[in-house]
Amino acid sequence: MRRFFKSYLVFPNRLSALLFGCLFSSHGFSQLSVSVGYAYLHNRELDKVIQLYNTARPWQDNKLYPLTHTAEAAMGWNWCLHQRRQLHFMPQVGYGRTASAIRNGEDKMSTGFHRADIFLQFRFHPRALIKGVQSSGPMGPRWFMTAGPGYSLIQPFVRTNGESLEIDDERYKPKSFTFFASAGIGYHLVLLKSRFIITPELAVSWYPYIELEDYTSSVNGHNVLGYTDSFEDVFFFQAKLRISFIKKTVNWWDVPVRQNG
Amino acid sequence: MLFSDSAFKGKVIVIGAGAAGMYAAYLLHQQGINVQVLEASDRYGGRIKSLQGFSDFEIELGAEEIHGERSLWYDMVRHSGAQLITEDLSELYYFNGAVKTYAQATENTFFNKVLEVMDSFRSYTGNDISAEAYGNISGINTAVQHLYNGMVGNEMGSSNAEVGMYGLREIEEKWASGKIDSRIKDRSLLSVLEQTFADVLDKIILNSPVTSIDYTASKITVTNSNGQLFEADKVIVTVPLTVLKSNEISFTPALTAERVNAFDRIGMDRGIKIILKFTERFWPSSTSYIYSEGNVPIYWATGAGGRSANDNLLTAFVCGTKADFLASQGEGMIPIILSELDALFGDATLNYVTHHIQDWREEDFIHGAYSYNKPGTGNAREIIAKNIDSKVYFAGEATHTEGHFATVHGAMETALRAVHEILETVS
Repeated sequence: MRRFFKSYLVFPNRLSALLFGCLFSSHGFSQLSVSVGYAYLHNRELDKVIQLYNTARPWQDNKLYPLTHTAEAAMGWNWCLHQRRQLHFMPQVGYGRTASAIRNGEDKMSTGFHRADIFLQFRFHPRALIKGVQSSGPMGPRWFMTAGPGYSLIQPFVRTNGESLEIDDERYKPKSFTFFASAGIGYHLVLLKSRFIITPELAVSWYPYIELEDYTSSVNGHNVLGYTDSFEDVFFFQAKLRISFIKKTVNWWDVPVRQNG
Repeated sequence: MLFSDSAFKGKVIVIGAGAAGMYAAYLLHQQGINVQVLEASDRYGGRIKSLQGFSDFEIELGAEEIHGERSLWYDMVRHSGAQLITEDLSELYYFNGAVKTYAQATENTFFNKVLEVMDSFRSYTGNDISAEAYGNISGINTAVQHLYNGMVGNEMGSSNAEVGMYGLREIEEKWASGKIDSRIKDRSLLSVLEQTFADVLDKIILNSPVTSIDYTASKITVTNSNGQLFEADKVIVTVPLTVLKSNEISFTPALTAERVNAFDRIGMDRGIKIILKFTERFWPSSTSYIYSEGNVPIYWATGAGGRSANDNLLTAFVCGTKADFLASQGEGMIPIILSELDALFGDATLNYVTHHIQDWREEDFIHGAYSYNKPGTGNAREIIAKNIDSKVYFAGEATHTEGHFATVHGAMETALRAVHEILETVS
């Protein structure tokens, strides 16, 4: 095994070729999946940063909306780890943009943060996982649950009249990294031309800790109240629509391995 | 909203109708709180004050520059519709017997040393010595020490000998309001306050100097020099540091020795603005600031940037011991200043018309320019910013703990803090 890794470290082009081959092979072990979605961010401390901006400026006609609305997109490769148990593994790369913007007179202000994720999603059907896909219950194996860990790069931004905030002559774009965990449910809704599966999903992602360095003072121009820039227990309540480009439906849903045991 | 959960429904008295006091009253009024403002003098605005009738525009006698483009004050000014000066103006520096542009000055190694020393404030790691001592250690040449004083000590409201290095470092480290300084072109700063805080102007009682605050009982009793009594559940004290230092307001129970000592650890010196009118402009038309030698560290072209269509005005701004000296000369300070300007440009005395002197040390109920950190100020601002028994709160530029002291937006931020403390703690 060590020799295997060693040889592929020495020849990275061979490793890439292997990975590419696995992901897009005609065997159907891995299949491309893309999703777009909306997430509602919930964190009271982060809300307070925006509320402080609004409360301190009662004269402004338009208020900055709390940082809640998030647009998301992700791409992953589905691997069927165990067909009869309906256990799938889908590593994903994703991007999310949480933002709020206002215009008051001639002045525009926008703020938020970018999020780049690596997410290792496991997809399973609870009953099928234990007793096999034949025992998936009255709703069949189309519905599923997801869970998995992830890792994110977070980068906040503040823009005034389209120009990025600068601190000490440098653009404000601090980076922080954080782990997260996510769980959800979904349903394979439609199969199109035996090639595409449309899958709505609901999920919640929990970020134990997000650091947005100097965020309060960057948005407000001060942090005289001493608000934190380290936000704990940040939740994203996500609704996604996934399109999966499939090779074999048998790996995905209600084509059981064996009818009626 | 931030204070929507607050259960506080009592009455608040704000003492002082400067930027901090008016903003505190405005915020409280916005939250539906019963608020009253007691102002000692016959006008509101505090250290925001304008001179009318001297020129074809209103001249700022107090706060003038809006420091930074990311602050409550900047946003308020923008929202008022005021025009900001956008013209590209340049600074002049007088040393080695000649007035130089920035480009010319930077050809001089002594001048560049001053800039280098100022750039090093942020990374300063020594003891809390004076800016003057640090300049000497760093090798600032005597030929340019007046420029160093003009750009640092005088700017801070005193002189390099009095200003502490930790305070300068704190500003560099904590400043979060942006780097662009601007001035209003078409109206006064006071008019911005009046426009924005219109809803609370009728809450201000003028000519009501507070002499005592008794917070022994659950209701706080405030007494003014007319013998009138006012009761409130909370009091926000926004008077200048000099008023607190001079014990013009007595507190019952008395303020702690720690707090009184903290007052003394923060500096607040004399600051004088002298507005000079001339028949002819003898300085370059695009001039903003002129750093000079002698008793006046800095001048600026008062009407530059389109403020004045007709008048040729210079503002001389002097703080600290130099201001004390000029003040001791009375009206005799004018020929002194003119002779110094003659040394720079040659034509000042010849073109002199008239002047106006605003000495903030002599301003009733204010007694100084603005606060600065002395060597040893340490945590004094944190101490004076603390409320007493959740009854008496302190605001005003001197109570700013995050490097924005000596600014209007800093004063407003402390008012926000006081209001936040009142409304967030009572829920």
